[in-house]
Amino acid sequence: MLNYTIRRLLIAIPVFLALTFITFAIARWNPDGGALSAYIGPGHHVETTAQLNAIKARLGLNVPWFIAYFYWLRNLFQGDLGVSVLTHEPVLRALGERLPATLLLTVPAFVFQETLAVTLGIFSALRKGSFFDEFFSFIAYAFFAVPTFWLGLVLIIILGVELPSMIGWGLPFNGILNVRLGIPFGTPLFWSYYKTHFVSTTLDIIGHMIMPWFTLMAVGIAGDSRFMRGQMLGVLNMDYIRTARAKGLPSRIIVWKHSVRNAIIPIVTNIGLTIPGLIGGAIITEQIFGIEGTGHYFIEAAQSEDYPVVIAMTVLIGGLVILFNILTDLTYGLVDPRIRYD
Amino acid sequence: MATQNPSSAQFEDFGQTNSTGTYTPVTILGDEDRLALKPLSQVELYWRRFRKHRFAQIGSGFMVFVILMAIAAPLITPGVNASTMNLNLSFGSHPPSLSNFPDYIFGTTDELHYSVLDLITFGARTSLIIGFFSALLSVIVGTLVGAVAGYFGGIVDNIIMRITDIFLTIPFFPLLISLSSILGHGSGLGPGFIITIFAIFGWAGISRVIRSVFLSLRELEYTEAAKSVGINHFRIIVRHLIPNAISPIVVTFTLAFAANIVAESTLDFLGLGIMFPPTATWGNALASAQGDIANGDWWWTLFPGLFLTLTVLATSFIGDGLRDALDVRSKID
Repeated sequence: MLNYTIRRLLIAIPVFLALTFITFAIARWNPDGGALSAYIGPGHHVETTAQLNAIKARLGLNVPWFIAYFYWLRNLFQGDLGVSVLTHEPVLRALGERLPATLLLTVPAFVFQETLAVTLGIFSALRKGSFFDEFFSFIAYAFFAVPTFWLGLVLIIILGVELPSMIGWGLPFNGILNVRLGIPFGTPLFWSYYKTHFVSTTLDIIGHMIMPWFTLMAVGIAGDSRFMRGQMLGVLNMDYIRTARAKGLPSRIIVWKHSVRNAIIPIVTNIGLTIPGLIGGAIITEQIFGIEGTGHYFIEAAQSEDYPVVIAMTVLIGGLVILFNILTDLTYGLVDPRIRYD
Repeated sequence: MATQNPSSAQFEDFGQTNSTGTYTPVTILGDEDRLALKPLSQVELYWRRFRKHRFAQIGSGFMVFVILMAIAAPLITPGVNASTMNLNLSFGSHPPSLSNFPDYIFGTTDELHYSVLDLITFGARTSLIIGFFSALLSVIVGTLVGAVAGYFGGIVDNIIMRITDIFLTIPFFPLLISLSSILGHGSGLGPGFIITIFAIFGWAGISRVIRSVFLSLRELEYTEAAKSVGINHFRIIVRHLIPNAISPIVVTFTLAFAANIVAESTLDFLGLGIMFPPTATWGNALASAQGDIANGDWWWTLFPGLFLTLTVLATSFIGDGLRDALDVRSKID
């Protein structure tokens, strides 16, 4: 097992390097038209060649891209993710400021999503064909089909626009905290304020986050619960379950010990593949609800062709996915003893 | 002079003798039963099982409707450009109305005063074409790659899975965003480009699913039996294993179709995909609707998104029906 872990980690390194290389190459595809014009800004002109060269040197555009890649890679391993060409803010610091908002969005959503999905999947499978199963299947189908961004927009229409115009009260749909507070979420000022106004701030945050959380996890719950139901039904049709029934095992043991343990394996594998979806969903959700998290930062950078930020974000998200792939493979072995690593 | 029934000595007789003395033995098989015993072809079996699935039928009906609507788009409405000509409503967005039927049944938009129906009918063309071709390409590649990896295992599996890892680790969605920002340069991407990108980054996830199915299939007795009688690997994969994996393959196709339609719309929604004008899509209709959402123009957001959602929903109904129909273990009753 230890051997296998080490080997997987060793394989992950070239994969990660390939990822950085491809991403960097794509991002530098059109450096002069992209980064440079973004840096100079519309309506501004560079007077002299010397000025232009100075800017190019500063952006690392005066050297061939593969040399720039090695510089960038060296900096990356030293913990320097680069500097935004627009705001001149180090990417790492910008991410640090925006990470709390993203975590506030994604972590609770992920926990709710997996717990609900597995539970609902098991009960739908056990009561196959019942009213609960039919009804929930329909709901799950519907939510699986609803695109994240449209769900967010419809929630805003119903709970954020129409409800207030009818009963005078609705859910806020912009940001994490009340705008009148004037304190950005995650800043030191916020934390000191939070300590003194714990309950009211928590309620304010939850009120703001209900729609984003729901928007982010709806698709995941629908998809994973259907997946779990399918796996569970597959396992329940297996011969060894029939054998267990035939020899008179109590159905509690058949369900929880013999069925769920086997049905959950693909779900565990799926978690590694769920994370990228969650990150992608967070990017959209942050856009819709005006949450200034890492996804918001990434979209902003992509729209303004801020290539150091774009490659840093792509590599960071890719690195996370590599990590989750390894973790997935390892958990796969832990939950399924039939799979051995030699 | 007892009864002449020869069987009476051996077992109890349920046959009947009528008043004229004609003996009628018990009919075990009625005519309908005889028909049912006529062997059904595999396709007939699939079709019978598919027809049992009520939702799959509804989904198929809706898909036919959307496909016809996409084909007949110029006949239904004057088109996204011509419709601006025959507007007799005052400027601005208007809620759904029956005037100028059917043009305004979903209302009109604030931006350039298009009718929402125009955006929906013409948007259907883009969505369906991109969804179908990108899903088809990625499923073909993904199945072949996943089958080879799962079947052979060992070093082949390792190499293929590391390549798959690279494709999976390059996060599809962020990369689309960066590609669009770098290659699009504010003018967006073309449908062909999007199909190619979706296929390049779609097969990897599918191949992982197919691989995991093949990992268990190759351990089954019939695979071992096929190997032991010396059938070559390619034939085992194509003739024996892929037919047994047809259910996950078909389901992944429908999932990919639905997912790609949503991904394309999302990209348009973020303003990084196909641009309108000239090409209307459900995604870019929603993008322009977002600006008006706080004004209460609900129809502009509601209807294009509803068609998008219903198309995806219909696809998963069809996929579910196909999964049940193609599952060789499920019974026909």
